[in-house]
Amino acid sequence: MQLWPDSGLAGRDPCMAPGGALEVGWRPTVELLGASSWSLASQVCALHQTHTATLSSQDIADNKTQHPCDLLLNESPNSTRLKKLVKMAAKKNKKQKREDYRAAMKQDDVLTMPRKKFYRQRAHANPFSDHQLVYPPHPDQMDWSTLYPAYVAQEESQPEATPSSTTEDLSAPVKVKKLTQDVEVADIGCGFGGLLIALAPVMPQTLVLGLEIRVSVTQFVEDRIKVLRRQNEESKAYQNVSVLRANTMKFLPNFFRQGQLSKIFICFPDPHFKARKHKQRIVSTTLNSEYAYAVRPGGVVYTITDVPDLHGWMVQHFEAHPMFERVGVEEQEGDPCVEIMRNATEEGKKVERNKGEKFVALFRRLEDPVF
Amino acid sequence: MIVPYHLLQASGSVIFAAQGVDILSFNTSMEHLSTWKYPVKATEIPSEPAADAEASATVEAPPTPEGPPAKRRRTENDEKEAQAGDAGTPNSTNGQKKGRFHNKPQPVNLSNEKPFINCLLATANGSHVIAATGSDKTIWVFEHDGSGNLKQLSQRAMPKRPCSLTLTTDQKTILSADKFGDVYALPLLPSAEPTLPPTVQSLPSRSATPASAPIPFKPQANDKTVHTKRNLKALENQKISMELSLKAAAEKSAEESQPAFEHTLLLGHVSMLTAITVAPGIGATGEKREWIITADRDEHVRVSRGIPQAYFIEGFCLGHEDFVSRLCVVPGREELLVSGGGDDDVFLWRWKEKKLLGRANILKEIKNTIEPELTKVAVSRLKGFSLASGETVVAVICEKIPAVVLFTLVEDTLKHTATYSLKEQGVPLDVELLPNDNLLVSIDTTEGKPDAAAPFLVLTRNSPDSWDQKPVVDVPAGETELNGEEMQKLLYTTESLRKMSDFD
Repeated sequence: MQLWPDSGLAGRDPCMAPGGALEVGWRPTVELLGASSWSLASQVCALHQTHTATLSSQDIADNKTQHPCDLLLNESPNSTRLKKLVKMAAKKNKKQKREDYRAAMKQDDVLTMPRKKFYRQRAHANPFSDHQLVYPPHPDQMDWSTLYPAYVAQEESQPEATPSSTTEDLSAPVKVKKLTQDVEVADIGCGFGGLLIALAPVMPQTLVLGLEIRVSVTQFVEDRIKVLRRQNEESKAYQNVSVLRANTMKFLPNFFRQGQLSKIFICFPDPHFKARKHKQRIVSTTLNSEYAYAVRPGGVVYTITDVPDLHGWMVQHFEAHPMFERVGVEEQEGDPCVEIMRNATEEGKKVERNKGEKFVALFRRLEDPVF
Repeated sequence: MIVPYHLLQASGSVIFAAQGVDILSFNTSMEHLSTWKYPVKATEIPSEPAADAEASATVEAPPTPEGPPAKRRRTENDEKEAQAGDAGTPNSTNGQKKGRFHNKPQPVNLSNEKPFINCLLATANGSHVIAATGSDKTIWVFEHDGSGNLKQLSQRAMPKRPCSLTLTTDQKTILSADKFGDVYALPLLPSAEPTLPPTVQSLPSRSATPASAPIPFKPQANDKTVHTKRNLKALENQKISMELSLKAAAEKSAEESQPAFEHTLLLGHVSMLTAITVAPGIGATGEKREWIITADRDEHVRVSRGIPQAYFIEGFCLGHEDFVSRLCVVPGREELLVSGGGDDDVFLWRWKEKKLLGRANILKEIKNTIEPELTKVAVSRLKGFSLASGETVVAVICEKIPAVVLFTLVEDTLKHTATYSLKEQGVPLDVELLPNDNLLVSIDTTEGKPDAAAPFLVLTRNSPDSWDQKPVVDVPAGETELNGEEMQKLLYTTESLRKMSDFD
């Protein structure tokens, strides 16, 4: 069993003894430290072997006793680096833990809320790349029934259920279950779903959809809504919110028909500070045209951010767009959604904790101009 | 290998054909009239001995394009150096990460990529010809004297590479759709006035901060938006170095400033645009209006209003399941639109209602007559022609398929009339209608049989579904030489629009 023939570790490594007590994860640790730390590492290994026999692992786990290895690590001059490496080794299990946790969440009887730590993901996703996304070719082909099972329309018996290839079928070759009502509120970049959950009881008669580009985060919101629905099975609460993984910058018109939405929320979007990244901002001259397409006249786009420059950018771009006007302060503060947006979103809470400022701006979609 | 004629554009009784970087003109019997050559840059002339220095200096240098300098490209030498550097440290820590990409085919070295003409357009009255070249992102406007001679009027370098050009119905404005997803409007004839600041039609440009004045550098983050110790420290450092950066930032903003000629951002997709066209129609008030139709790599066909309401999206013609590469407003039936791309079918739309009227399966037609094993097609040309007999023909060319598929418009459907096999001749690159109702097809002879040398083929119709062919041999050979791989890269780009990635 020669793992590192050059390092001279093979054979001498106490961990290599039959029944060696150390986790597999330790070995690269020793290697990475290099020759200078070899003596320390071997000391740790030796200590580990002798003491593991005498100390009960339960005691260590319960923090009743400190393992001598940890003591040694704390004392050594290299301690921070060593600890880091030990931590790195421990990470090996993280993926497995995540998978196990998420598989467990898939069970039908889970009633505990999902924990964010098993769903973390890098905060940025490139909106220009081809993610493995699922989206309908046409809004009519979108199957909403799995997202809002409580709102599925009762199918009237259809005599022409047999597949026919007439010209009428061309635009919707796939028959999907219809809902009794349409989704009217979209939260673009819903993150961990704080706004959705808070909006659900405020507008119980409206279907609210969160859209998020990150897989794991979407999964978290999905599990969160699932658990909430189960916890409130009697009151039928939270049946009106759902979440979808989507790149809205590209595929918003694939989900919503013209004028389908009455509200769009854009909460704490990625600021993209660098000028060359400004095209990735969720608010831009050209994207505002798409929001104007999806929102009906009189509908409102809600924006909030803690970055003053981004706030200025969003205000400038929406105000300059001929299809939007800014909503006055009085009306803005009277809107219950604004309060929720300020306090219920995860980012909103975080900014609150850090005593940051929050900038809100609302824009109303104007009537279609005559052409 | 000599570059074949890859773009055709008829203008009255003159046919323009782009061959690599040159534009040649022909009369209707395919006799060569004149050639416009891409101006050779002074820097590209091989350095000559000192005695000739004066002579070479007098070589006519092209007027410098009014725009930003060309993007710096990686040269072969750079690559070799980089490889040598890698060899020195074979076990570098990030070696594993790099290894992921080592199996990929090395990209063709395009450091000397020729500014191939990728769009060719003529005004309705034939007075002007417009072309776009790829690698230098330039839009060229020529005056056409009516007998095939082109006189260069302007040369404008766009911020991003134009993918498709069209003209508004009044023939006064060029619309340019680019790789970045934006559509710009440029006047056909730039005003003689001194360079204007970039005007944006009642909308702020995407880089909202005016580029003309150097922006004082100011960190966008503040201690309320960053929280971690490290970020706060970085912010502190940023503030300290603010003074130093000021100068650099000013220089940079000057360098990256917008082109000086008049150009207006009309609309944009968050996706690579592949086609743009303008369709006329009647507005709500009964006036003549026009609509801009754009297609992108993400299956969308978008209908926007024409200038000055280009910010208003009328709707989307949705139904494609793969990229859209070509659009064609049916001549004589302007309410109809044909779109094609990576799907098996071409789609026929009534674009104003965003209604799909029908689909015509090209893959099936090609499988039936040409290649039974074929699994996918990528439409590289889609053109509609109005014949003197009153019929409307839509011709489809798919990338690397030796066939021209012809459909006839019968009321609101596309009826397949012929799949013209060119197996003996080569791969068709473009098709255009000659004034005598014959179809002119340009052919990449290098792809087909080596002994076939005719770069053009004239198809004459003798009955509704049968066409006679006549090769045109006597045309000047091009001068641009490329190796096979480069040629593939430059002539056959449609299939590369297909999505291949499989990551989250």
